[in-house]
Amino acid sequence: MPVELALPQGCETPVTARQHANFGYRYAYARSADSRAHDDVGQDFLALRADERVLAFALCDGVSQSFFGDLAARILGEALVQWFWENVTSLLKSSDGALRSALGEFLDSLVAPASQQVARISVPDHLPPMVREVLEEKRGLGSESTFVAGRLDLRTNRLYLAWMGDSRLRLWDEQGEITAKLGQTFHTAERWSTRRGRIGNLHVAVIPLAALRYLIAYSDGLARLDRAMSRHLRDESIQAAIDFAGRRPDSDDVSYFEVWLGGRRPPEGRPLSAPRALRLTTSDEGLHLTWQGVPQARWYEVQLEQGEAFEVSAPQTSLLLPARHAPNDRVRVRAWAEEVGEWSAFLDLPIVLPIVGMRERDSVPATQPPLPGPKTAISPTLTRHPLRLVIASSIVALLVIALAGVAALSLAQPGLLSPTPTPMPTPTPLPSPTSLVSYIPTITAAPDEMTPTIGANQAVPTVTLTPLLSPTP
Amino acid sequence: MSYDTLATSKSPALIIYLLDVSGSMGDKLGTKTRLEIVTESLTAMLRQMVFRSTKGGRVAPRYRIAMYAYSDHVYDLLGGVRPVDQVAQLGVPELTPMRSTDTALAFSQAEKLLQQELPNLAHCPAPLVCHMTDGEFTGSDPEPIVRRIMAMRVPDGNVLVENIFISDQLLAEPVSDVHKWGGVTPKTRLTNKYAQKLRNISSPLPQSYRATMLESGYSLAEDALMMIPGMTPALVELGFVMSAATPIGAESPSGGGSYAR
Repeated sequence: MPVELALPQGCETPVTARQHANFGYRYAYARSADSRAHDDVGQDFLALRADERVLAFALCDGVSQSFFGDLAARILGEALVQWFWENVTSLLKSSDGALRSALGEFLDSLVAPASQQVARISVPDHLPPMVREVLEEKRGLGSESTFVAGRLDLRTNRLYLAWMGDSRLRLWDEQGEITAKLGQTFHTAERWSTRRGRIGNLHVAVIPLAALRYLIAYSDGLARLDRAMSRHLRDESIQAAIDFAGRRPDSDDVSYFEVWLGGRRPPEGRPLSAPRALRLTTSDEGLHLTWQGVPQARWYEVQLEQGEAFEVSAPQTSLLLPARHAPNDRVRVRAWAEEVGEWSAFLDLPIVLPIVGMRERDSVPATQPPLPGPKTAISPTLTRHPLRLVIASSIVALLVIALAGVAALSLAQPGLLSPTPTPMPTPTPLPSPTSLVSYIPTITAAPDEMTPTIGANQAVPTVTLTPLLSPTP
Repeated sequence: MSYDTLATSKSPALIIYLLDVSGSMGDKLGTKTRLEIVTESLTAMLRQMVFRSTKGGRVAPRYRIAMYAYSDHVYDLLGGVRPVDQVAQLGVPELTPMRSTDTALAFSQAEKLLQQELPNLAHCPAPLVCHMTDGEFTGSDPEPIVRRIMAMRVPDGNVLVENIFISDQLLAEPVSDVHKWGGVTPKTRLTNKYAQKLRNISSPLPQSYRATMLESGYSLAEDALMMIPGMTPALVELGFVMSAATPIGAESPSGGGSYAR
């Protein structure tokens, strides 16, 4: 029975591997941080079909500025897997040119049914008119996606590949990476459109399996692997790279696919040890985290448990932490070479950070001279407890004073402690989103009085707009 | 100082508009008043922001916008800094011409806002102040304030200042095709002294902004400045489109982002 798999676009799929007798593969999927936060679908799509002799796959990256890019990615991905699984068989012994021609025609033939699907998508009524107009404009331009797809065939001992756009496709033989054989053919502007079909050139390659050890494809959301990965990595390292990407401000959807030949995985590296001696110090600039360097580390990942992750290039071993962080947040560090290292233990952050003004969050070299100004070492075990002690002591002292005062007053005026009704405060409603309409401004100053007013649409009453600044005499 | 920090929901770009609503903005430029042209250009700019921020059916708050109209006072048109999804809901304000042109006052307000905002923008693109006017200031000289603003910085780069100067006669030669025009450079001959002054307080166009403009079909030169002579409605629109050319996050565009045109 062939395996058929289409990773869901609405949730994350951690790195998952499967080994067949003669090849193995693994895959992963993660939505961007923004999509996760709003529970939107991801716009990548990854699907495959495999039996013991053949594997067909497609990794598509929907263009989010197009009309619902997730749609094009899914339509295209499903169609490509089907085509490489079933329809390519007549071309198995033919040239690159024949493959390009046949696949090109197939991609163009998808336009009509895909356009019908695009036409059926309804734009929600509740959206503001301008957003609806923009979406309709996008609908007219179509839904778009890049793709990397192919077929690994052990019967013909060939790998058939096709791609358009800048999704990554990398190849290795026993000696090392051979991706350069594919040429400079990964162009951002090339993609497939539900309206226009192929935009740019369709690239194909037919490669003898004897020249291949493994293949890796991923979307540009994992672009950091371009420079960070020179070979097959452990599952933990791929997952860590995905997790790190998901904590960055520019987090994008991520899809990852890898296939290797043979009955077992390619050799993998060993994890680096965990950084030790994490320490927090305060200065005028803010809160500095330092740690002991790890041999062979290329960079360090500093992670706030409830927030972002930061990259610090080795040999630096310190970081000026952001001025704002969540209450009760913690921080930890791990080293990276190509493979990810072990995490350090968590270190609690102080509950209140010093208020600092504008400064860069750039990492601070460990070798640089001590920073000027007063510096207080904070031992990891004492980051919270002293403050808690102070707060608790203050509360107890206040209670004692208050009780003493009340007791004295009650002695002087016995009726004072009898219950009296306390007026409940009336909550002031927060402005609802619709109340924003009242801000829509229309400056309607009468020319004779020159008193500017600010109004909204016709239905909204005009109110006086107070100048923010007036000229100095 | 690379101006390549991406505008994302977590690191939105702050753009402050200073709009001259002095009496002369009621004058005609072609068949429409200058303010009508500005309103249409602002709408085009806002549409572009929404276009660039929409993923699926949701507008991601990649831009934060403040909009001030100024004459002899400064008026906050949006009631503070608002994310683009809210501004898209509000729409572009209708503007009516008023009286004088106290440009320094407007830049003072921008400076004040930037002082409040900068501490929170360490991971965001450099803010941009887009100033639109049609004539010389009537109050004090705004240049010292603009210089202070241009000296403010975040890790991505110094605060950018763009000037859109609406007037019939600014360039020695007319711009026949706005999409083929290379922009105002330090060597461009300007026929108006105030335009020369505004050029001096306009930031160089960052390469990342230029790349976005090229993608949008414009041909601005490498040494172009963020100074647009608004001699035609198309040029005014170019000016406002430029203000929204911050590189956007990849949470956006996979595969590069915008439509291949």
